[in-house]
Amino acid sequence: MIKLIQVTLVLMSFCAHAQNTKNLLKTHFNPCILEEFDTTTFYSQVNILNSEFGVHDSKIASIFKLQNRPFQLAYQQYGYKLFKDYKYSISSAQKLNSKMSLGLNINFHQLYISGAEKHHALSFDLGYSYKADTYEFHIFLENPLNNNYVENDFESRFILNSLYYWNANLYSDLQFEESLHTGFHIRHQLTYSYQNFLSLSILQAFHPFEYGFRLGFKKGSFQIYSQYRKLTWTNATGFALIYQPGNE
Amino acid sequence: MNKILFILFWLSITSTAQDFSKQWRYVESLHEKKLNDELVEIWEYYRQNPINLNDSDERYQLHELQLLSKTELKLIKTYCRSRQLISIYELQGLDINVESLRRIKDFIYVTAKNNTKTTSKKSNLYSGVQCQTPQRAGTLNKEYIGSPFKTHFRYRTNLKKGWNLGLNWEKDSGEPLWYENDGANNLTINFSYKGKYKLRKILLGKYDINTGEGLLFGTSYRINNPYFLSYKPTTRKSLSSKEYNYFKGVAAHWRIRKTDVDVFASHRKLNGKASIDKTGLFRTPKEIEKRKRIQENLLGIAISIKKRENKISWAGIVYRSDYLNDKNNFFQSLYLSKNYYNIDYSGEIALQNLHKWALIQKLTISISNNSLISLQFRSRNDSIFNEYKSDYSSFSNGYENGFLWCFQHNFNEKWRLRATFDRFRSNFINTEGTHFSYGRKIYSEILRSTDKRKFVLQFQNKILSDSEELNKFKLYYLEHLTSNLKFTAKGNYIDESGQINTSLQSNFYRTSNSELDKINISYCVFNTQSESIFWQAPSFYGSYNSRFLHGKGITSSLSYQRKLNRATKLGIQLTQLSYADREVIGTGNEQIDNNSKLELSLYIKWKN
Repeated sequence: MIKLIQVTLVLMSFCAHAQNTKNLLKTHFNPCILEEFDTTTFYSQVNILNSEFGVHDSKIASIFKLQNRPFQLAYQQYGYKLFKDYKYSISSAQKLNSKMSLGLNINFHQLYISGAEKHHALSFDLGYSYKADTYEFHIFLENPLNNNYVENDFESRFILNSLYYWNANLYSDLQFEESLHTGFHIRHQLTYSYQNFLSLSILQAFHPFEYGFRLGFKKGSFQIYSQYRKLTWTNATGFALIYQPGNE
Repeated sequence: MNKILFILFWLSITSTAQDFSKQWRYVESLHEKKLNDELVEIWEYYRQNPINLNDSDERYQLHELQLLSKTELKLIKTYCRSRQLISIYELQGLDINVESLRRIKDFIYVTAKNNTKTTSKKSNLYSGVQCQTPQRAGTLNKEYIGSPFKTHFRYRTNLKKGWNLGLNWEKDSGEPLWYENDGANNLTINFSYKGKYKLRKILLGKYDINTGEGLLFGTSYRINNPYFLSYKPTTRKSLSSKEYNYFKGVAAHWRIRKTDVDVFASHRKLNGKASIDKTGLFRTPKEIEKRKRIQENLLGIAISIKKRENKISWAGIVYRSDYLNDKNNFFQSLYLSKNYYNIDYSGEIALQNLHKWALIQKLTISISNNSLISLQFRSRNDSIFNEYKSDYSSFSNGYENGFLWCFQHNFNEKWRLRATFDRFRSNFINTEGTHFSYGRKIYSEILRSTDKRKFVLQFQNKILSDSEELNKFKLYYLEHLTSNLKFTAKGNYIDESGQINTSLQSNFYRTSNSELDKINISYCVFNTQSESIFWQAPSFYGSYNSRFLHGKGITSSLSYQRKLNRATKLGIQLTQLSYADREVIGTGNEQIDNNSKLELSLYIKWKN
């Protein structure tokens, strides 16, 4: 199940045109990026993993400012008719100085399995980011206390992202990820944006080798993304919609 | 205003003077497994007794710091040999990285020839304690006779007329401080004398012996790196807590013109029964039965003649121990090193009772200051005395025959490439158990270093006969995020025939603007199947929280160190280890009835 969740999350590696949305729909949500949002944002995404059984992963989230502090409320659901894993999250971030930020996610998890009892659990994630002119570091500690429903059924990961901007339109995102349950992974994403309304990303994962691409389009306050990924066990498609009122 | 600026400057100098985090990170990026109590003890010694660059006898001790490359050492030596230095800052004019000079700054000084540094009496004291929760089964079941605390006390002072006194007392968790009818636990008291005339040195107490390249005796700390040369004094006092790999007795060193004479004698009882016990843990009555049971006596003389960078030395040692053959064994070591412009040769031949032998030969050629190539050949009888050997290479110590060659090239000030190839073979046949009769290892490293960041990528490939191939990748990254915040990341990836073992670790080091407070945070996730991963907590004085981790889990640490005043410093460290793949940690008396444990370390350090 954990592998399934993880692979699903991989699918969610979306990226937006505008700088402040580029990290929104990654494999994980590092709360530090909230510091970049000045306008209220709504976004949703759906990833179809298996159309025959209806296995999917979806998320709806809203980012807003309250007393000058950014927050995100998110609802995420994974599974199909007989198996549903829900996650409700609240996130916030704190700017340490002009380059560094710290962030926190607090998550409430709920597991429904048809014919079995429900499970509930709490977990938290920590984020740190450092931004220089041409590069960035992001550190993400997902569920560092290894909380779980029963035993080892939540992902617990340590993720290190390094972004390098080759120029104003092209950047690389190299991700080192050590999972407590599934081991080490390296992923790379190369994204090119054209005149701030069209973007193309090439996604690669090493060990196991996977690949995919994503196309994005911006029109007014809306951003729309479509993605295809070839995974070792399935072909998956995903869609995402981001709405930023007043950000045209 | 000027007075305030002076005080701030002086504070920054004194507050950084006793911190080894720079040096620690340097060795960590090269050989993190070699970071231990003994190396910090060496730095501590040379900080209190710095090396006079104008004294040709002392200059060669720069090797012992393990903080410079061979090329850098050679540049400093050549420069210092040709002139009298007025200030250590003259070294900035050499083609040496400023970071390298900063690393050794606290350990060097200059004065006019034959003048000793005018120093007042110097002392330092360290006291540390460590404990963990939950307790081990041995403590809960009262199998261990001592308290669950690990304690450590060290004191060193300069006495009058060149004499020094050192005291080190350590006990491990579960051990008593004092054994009934069996004396103190791991107590060392050293007296040493350092002279300027013919009698240069007297040691009383615990000391190390190093002859030649260490084929027979090489107990001092050494990073077994083919890029380092290994000149050392024959005897060197030791105040580390090691409970094996040292000698105890008296040693003296004379210098008569160009000739050095060392005479040494040791008498002690080793731990163990039929074989030597190297664990150093004596907590239960059964373990205590093995304490100090094997008698060992040694008497030796070493004569060496040194002329510039050329050296020839001979050592003769009579050795007797219950575990060996309970007979007098006569060891000899003949060592020669020769430097001819950019070519260095060194070799040692060792004999045991005139019929068992071992030899090692090294030839290193430098091409400008940017490249070097080294060839090393070693061979020995499989039955020659091999108890106190130094490590010949980091790859194949268990093998009698080997050929190693390596090269290094500095592309420019930032980029450096290293590669080492080692082939080795046994010269005996083991029919009883698994025996890997031959093998090879390849080690390569590429480094990029600037003032702001450092990046090291290492690759190792190991193939043993009748065994699985092993590939190791290691990534080390350091970035100075701000003037007082550093970040390091370390990644390990070990592939043993498809079985993957990995870890990812990050450390943050923050120093306050006044440099009085230091805080370290470390976090590591590991996931292994067949091989262990080495983990090292960030630098924390007096506590060496390193371990091999196996399985799946998370380990993290938080350290805080504060300088209370000019003389006193204290620190606290918390280290948490949690496994996700087991219910209990350890077995037997070591077992902890939980899948996680928390360790607490505290220390206080004082100096005048």
